Amino acid sequence: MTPTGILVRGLLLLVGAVLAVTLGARHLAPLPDLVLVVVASAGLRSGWQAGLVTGLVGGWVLDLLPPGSTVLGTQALLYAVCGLLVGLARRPGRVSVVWVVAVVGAAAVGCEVVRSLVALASGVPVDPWGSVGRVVATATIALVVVPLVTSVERRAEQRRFA
Amino acid sequence: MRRRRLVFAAVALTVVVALVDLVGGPGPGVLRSGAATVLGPLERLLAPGGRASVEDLQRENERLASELREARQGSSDAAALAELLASPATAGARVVPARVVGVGAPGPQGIVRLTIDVGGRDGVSADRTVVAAGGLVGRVVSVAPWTSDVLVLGGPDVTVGARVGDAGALATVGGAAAPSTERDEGELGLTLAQTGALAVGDEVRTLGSVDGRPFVPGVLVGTVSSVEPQRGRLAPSGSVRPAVDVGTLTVVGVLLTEPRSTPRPSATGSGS
Repeated sequence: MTPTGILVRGLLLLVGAVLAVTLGARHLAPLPDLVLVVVASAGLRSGWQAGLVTGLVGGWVLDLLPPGSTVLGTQALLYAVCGLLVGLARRPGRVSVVWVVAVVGAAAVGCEVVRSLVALASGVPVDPWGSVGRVVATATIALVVVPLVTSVERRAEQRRFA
Repeated sequence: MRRRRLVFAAVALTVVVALVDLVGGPGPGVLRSGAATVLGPLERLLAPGGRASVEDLQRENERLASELREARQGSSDAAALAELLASPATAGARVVPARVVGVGAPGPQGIVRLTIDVGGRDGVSADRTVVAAGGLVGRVVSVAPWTSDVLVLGGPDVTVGARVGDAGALATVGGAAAPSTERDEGELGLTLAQTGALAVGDEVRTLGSVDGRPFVPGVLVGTVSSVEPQRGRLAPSGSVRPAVDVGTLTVVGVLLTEPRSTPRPSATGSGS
């Protein structure tokens, strides 16, 4: 991957995380998990190693962007595992949109289940219908964002700075 | 091969940071405040509306007279701030008005952390009480120059000492006070400190801490919404419906209480 591609992917992660936090302050619900969509598109395009690194970086951005997470590094590990698993689901050549949506949906379900278990273990009640809404929103937005992110990254890699 | 080793080193470093943060080590706090110093202003920039200071609102009100369209937005801000300053939660306290500019990664457990647009430069420090017009919101956990992070009541890390009902029975609210499976999402667990009466509809207010940090006394937390059968437990427990709906929060206030500096005079009982 070229330095430009890495820069663009980092910017996309930052934009996704900032949007998630500031749209949350406007109390919009259900909010799609934009960082997960960027991580998933990296994994689906470039394989498990890129998925893992993108997930780790994206999770760290969410961990550090105020208000951050309760324990630093937990989001990073969660998204790294998500990116790794999504990367393993990569198929060579052109893939169908259904496959992309299914993989992103499965990753979103995995994230929600892990977060629910952590919340229940620390004595906080969970809202299952809110989780369903977020999974549906994430899978739906992946339909649009994954091809967009892929084409933006491809274009960024083809362009060379003079 | 070298690249793969680098990736595994990064993952291992993340695990180490998470473990250090879990046991309360010093490093992650520095990371957090550094990131908040850099990224906080970005969030303030993208905040809904603008800054909720008194001067801004006065300027808004002046514009209200001339521009009707802007007046609609300004008056809703002014109304929210006026409601906050008139509410019993802020009575007699120095309040720093603030706006919610960020909400932590949404999860199934609801909103656990918030970012507000006031920080160290506004006189805010860690362990201050955060209130809204309705009652208690939570406490400040970390402060950057321009923003602060708030732990919201109902999250796993906020446990409040409280008084319940007219009799003022001592109780613990929130945190792991009661198992989460027995109450609805958004409700808080409550456990009395010892045997006492607990009835649906009782008001729950903060007990207060030394110097009002992290919680000032007498702020409304919520009302008792259900009482669980005692079933062999020593103390009665139940659920509390919070007075503030964090899901719709826009304007909050940080209470600045002064520590006591003069000795309290003793008094003589009259005995009649």
